[in-house]
Amino acid sequence: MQIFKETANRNRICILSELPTGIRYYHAGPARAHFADKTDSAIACLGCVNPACMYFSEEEVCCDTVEGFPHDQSLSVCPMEAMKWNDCADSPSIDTTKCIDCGICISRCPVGAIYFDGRIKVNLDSSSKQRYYKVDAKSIGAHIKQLDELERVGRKGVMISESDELMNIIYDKLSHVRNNYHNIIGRNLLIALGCKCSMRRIGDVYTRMDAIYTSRGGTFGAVEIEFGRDTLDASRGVLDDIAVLYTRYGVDKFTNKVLVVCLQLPNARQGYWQVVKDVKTVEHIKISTITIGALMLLVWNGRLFIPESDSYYVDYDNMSIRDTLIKQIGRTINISDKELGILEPLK
Amino acid sequence: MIRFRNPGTQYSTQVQVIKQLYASLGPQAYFTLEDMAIVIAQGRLMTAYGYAGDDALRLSNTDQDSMNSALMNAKMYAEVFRMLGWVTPYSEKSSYPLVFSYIGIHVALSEGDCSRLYEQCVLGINNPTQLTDKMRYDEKIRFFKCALRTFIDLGGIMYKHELCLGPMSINDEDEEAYQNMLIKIKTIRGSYTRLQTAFSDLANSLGMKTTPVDNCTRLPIGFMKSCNWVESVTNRSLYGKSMSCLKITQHGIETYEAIKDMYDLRLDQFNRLNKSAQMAMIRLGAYAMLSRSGYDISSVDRTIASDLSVCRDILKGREILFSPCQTIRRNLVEEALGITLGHGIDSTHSIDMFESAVDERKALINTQVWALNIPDGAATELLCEAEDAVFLNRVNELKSCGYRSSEIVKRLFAYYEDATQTTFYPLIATLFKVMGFHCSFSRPGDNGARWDAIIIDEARSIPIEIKSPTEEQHLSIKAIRQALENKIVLLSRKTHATEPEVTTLAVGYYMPNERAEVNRLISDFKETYGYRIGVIDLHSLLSLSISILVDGKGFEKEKLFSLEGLMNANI
Repeated sequence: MQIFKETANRNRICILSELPTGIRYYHAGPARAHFADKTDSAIACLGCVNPACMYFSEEEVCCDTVEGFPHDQSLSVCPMEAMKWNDCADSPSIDTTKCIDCGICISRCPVGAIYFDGRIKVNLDSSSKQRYYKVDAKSIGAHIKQLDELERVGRKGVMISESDELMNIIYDKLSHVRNNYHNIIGRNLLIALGCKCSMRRIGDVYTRMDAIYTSRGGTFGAVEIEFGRDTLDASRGVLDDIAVLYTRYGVDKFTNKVLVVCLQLPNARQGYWQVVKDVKTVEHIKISTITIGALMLLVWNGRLFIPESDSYYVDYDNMSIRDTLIKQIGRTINISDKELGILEPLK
Repeated sequence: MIRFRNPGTQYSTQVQVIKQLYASLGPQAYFTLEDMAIVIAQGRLMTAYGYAGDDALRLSNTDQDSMNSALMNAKMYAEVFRMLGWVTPYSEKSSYPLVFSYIGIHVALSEGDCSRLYEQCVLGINNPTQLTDKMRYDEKIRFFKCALRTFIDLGGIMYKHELCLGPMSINDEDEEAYQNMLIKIKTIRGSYTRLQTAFSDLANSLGMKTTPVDNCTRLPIGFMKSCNWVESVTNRSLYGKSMSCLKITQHGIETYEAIKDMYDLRLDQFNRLNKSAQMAMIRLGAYAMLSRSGYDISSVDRTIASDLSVCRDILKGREILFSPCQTIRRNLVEEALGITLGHGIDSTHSIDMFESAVDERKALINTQVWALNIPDGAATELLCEAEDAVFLNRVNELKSCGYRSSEIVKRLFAYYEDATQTTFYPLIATLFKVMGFHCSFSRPGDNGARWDAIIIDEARSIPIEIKSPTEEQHLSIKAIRQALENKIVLLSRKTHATEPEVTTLAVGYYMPNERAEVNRLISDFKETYGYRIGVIDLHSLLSLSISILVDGKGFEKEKLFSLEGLMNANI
């Protein structure tokens, strides 16, 4: 039986004439690649054969700390399905009406060709370092090898600079996102921050938790993702998650570093904070809390999610995650006190 | 109208499943639904009651096929894959077992995301075919081609029910019927009532309820979204109210433009061809699908040239739109392509190999029953609130009418069916007080106390989570979670004395629908945190109270402090 081979869905294959020594991100412009000869230039989209800006690897969406955890296998990097491949241009195109400016795609481009300038854009202006070849097995092989090497190139700079104005634009978009996108936004941000993260399949009501994650540092936990106002549901949910993971998968309740990902931190007067403290007092379990906005800040600054040492544990006695973010990003955060409830409760 | 079944899987999952199936079942001559179920479950692409792998299969191993979730999952995939032409019946005599088709093998072995071949397969869905002779509809149509055309002709936006009224209900080769369909939909537009009436009339004409007709749109919409032909938009202009509609994308328009002038070969025309033309058309159709999907088919250029020559007078220079694996039985397809499928080892999988855990799950449905046989009287000293008096008066009225205790329970139970929190919380407190427990309730909106009521005891206080029937008729998992939280809060804040081993209660109008799931959660909580959670419905609480008030018979009260799981008491 004759089985035909697929050809790469590309018009041409791009390979850099030399590997950059480093890549520096800039707000409002494409990143610049620095080369050994002291020159630097912005690199256009390479038209990667398997574009990391569009697809996660199967390993990334599989948190194998819990063997057999049934999970959604969607590999889509863009949680909003705003990114499509443009066959004519050999590059991704972004539907700005769907894009929420999370910046995950920026963080995954091997050469920093995707950038934010009021909206997410793709740099298509080729650099002199880019060479184009006919599509064949040899050029595809060389291209894939170079993509592997690019993963190891150091990166610096800030992909998107935060501000109250920008966060308000993004949060306005997030507030209109339909429920079925909430979990994948949380999952994809955690993956972009170096975690392996598995998300419950849509419609699977028996697998209680929204997701599970393992950080780069090896910390494991269940995740509850809550975009609504009833964050008490999330604190109750994590107690349920701990029980299910313990009885069905043998995960010790004290090694399960549960995480609540919410759009906004609950208001100070909401019962959530006191209940988190109660759970710590009675059960000695520390529930970590982080916002979608804070996760985005970490992505934009090229950081990992580091939950080790219970760094994101906050409760009634201290409801702010600002200090943790400052420590992890290494600078002050340009978001006003209480703005949108991203780093402190709004009220 | 075409009845698309409504299996709800995503494109990426469909591709993963076919790849996994082929990797495991490729060496078999054919495969059964059980083979599929086991491979899918072991690949953790399905769950049963939250379990994956062998555990899911054990929970699925039941004599009742309709209760076998692994088998039902496999059947759903089989139907979708058959529609996409990835699998086909092994023999002409029955629908099962199955073999992988030539195109299905290409999808399974694809190293990319095979989105283009997937798109070709969706375009290949047509009716009638040699494989669909038992359908309850007789529309002759290449549905997705017609749907894309309809979108374009109706201004790019459609409401899902217009798919049922339009392209799902016509023969697309009849141009007059197509134009009349457009006129019909344009006439309906502008009035939501007209749409509802037309949709309801359609359902009636099919002998169906409107919901299953609506469900028939799920699969085609899923296919069209997977192919990026349509996207959801909110629209007010079609029917004067905000509705979630579908809008054709630029890619959808381009796809239609690319296929509209192709030679669209259907079964009727195929059957009229002589054998050599049929063979040529099968090859041309299959190779064209692969070529349009980015496969390098240059090695068969000479065959294609020869086949084009055979079909020159029919095709007249046009490209062919024909998916043989979705239209023709496999023996003819294999003959044309010079391949033989359906060879290999026998089927090797059986769900019976997995020891059934169905009975273990059924055991979780059990509810403990409390006997009402201990002489007791109402604790009148506790019944001093206005709400208590209201309840007692109501009982006395029913008693004076001559009703027996069981009838009183029945009438009171019906009376409180629409009770809100304001009525229901005090009622529950009153009932516990009748039984002799010092119970106080929280006023709705009082966020200070996390529980809705509490049985106050010198050393063993019990928090109560209450769900009024207007919040939820059947208690849910949510109430159980809240009962756990109440226990932790009480132990932490120490507002009332209690002990870890004393129960925490969830009370509602009806027992949970998912009893096994609730009992399992209660058991999970006990095992993890060591706390007991008890669940009681209103009927049982009324039975306990009325038995004491009317018959002077109570229950062993000590049981309440250690209640774990669902409790039932009937007069």
